[in-house]
Amino acid sequence: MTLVFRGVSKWYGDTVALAEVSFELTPGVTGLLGHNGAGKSTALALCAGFADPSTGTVRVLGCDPRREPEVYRRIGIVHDRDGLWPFLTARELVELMAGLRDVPDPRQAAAEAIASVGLEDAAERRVGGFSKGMRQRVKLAQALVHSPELLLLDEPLNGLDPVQRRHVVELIRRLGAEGRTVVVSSHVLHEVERMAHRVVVLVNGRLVAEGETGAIRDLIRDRPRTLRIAAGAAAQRLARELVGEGLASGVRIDDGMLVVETADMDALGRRLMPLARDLGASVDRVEPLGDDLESVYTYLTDHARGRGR
Amino acid sequence: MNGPLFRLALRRLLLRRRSVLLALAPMLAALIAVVQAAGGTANAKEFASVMEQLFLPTILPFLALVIGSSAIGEERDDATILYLASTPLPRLAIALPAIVAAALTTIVLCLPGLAIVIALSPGDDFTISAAAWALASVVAGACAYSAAFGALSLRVKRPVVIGLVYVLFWEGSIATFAPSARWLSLGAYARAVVAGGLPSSTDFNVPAIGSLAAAAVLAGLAAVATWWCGRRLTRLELP
Repeated sequence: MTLVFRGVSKWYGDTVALAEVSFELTPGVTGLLGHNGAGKSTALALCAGFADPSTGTVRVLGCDPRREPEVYRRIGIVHDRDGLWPFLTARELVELMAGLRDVPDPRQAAAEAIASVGLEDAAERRVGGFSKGMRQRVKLAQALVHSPELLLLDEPLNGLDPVQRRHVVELIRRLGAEGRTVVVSSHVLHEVERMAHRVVVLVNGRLVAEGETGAIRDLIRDRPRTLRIAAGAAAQRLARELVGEGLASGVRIDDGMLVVETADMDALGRRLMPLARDLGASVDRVEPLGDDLESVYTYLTDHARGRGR
Repeated sequence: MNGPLFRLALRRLLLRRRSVLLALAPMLAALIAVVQAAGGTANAKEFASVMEQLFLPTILPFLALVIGSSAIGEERDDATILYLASTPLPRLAIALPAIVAAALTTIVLCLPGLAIVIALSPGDDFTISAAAWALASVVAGACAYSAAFGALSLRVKRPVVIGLVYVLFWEGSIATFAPSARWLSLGAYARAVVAGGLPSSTDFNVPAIGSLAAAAVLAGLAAVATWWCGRRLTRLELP
């Protein structure tokens, strides 16, 4: 395991930032999802060794970075703060970080890292004059310059324009495909979906879901699901039957299509076609609604908030 | 000491507009020296008076306060320290170059004013040795003050305000003029260093300790404060 969180809690005074969070991460890209204040940055700060957990254990590449700083040769970090030394050029900054992490040829490594984030043209300019997007790419370059096994990226797409976002998303996917462990925190869910093969969802400092996107859906199988069914003229009769058999908790006709809410997806799946056949209805299309990660996340967030802290 | 980090800290502390303004502070001592020279009263006694009552207990710590407190504290505030903290370097190796760069910056900014004070203090009883000890007192004082204020910046939220109160009310006032406080002041030990090159008749509230011993005390205090900065950085939770 590259990264292990075991029973980790972190509180600041009376504020609980993380509560009994446990997860393990392996190589590949993992999305750390949550709304603002959910505990994403705290979790990353603990991974990065910038803070001690109040309780529990954090192991990064088998080490405790707070006590074994040598492990930073294998970790790259993009934090969410904007500070950079304004008087350094992009090349100087990335080269400095390469040198401090004992990279054998800092100049060459810096040039490659800067090229990987598409910042070659601005390499000799001082970062004090950079736009937010350029600064973000400098931060990414310094995190990549020593070719780390583990990358902790806190909101790495912040401030990037659409073209830059696409470029960085591709870069992150490539890093994951190379076998590195990449943790990307974000609240922009559709972008996380594009790069992460698994997600860890934090809500109010608690881990509410973790695993492959599909596995998360399995975890919350009991949540109401919505299907849109193209059943032609027999839509109303089919709706009546579905409600009558207790397979649907709500039905409506939307744009000629039958929209069904159900708490028992499996039973509905088994009975839908036989019922339609009995009614002489032809079901042309069945499509799930709200099965994207955004909907799952919204559901999880509402669910956890309902339980309250 | 880590060379790249030292150069980084030196660029950050020295090569900024603020330095020009800070370099004006020692010019106050130079101005007094000019007035004394113009009045024909410049001598070793007056030189000692400027150094022992103004330069070492007030001007030097003021510069060291502004520079030393930003040596590490500013990096923590703007979060650039996170980049340094995510390297394999021990935290002491991060603190040391910052403190040394702060001390060097303080010395460099003191030099023009000090040079004018020395140049305008000729006299039979003023020697090269006096100038050398004066420089040594500034160097030793800058190291101790920079480290102390660097440590202060890692301990309190408003190090400049608290440091200013300390400089004005303790170093510049009580510890300069009250004999009972002469052992409890960095400035007093710096006075003991400069006293090594001057006639004993010019000593002003100086602890009974040799110049070399006083310099050693200041160096020891600087070392302890720097070590504490490293330890504090190790334990500190970063933003």
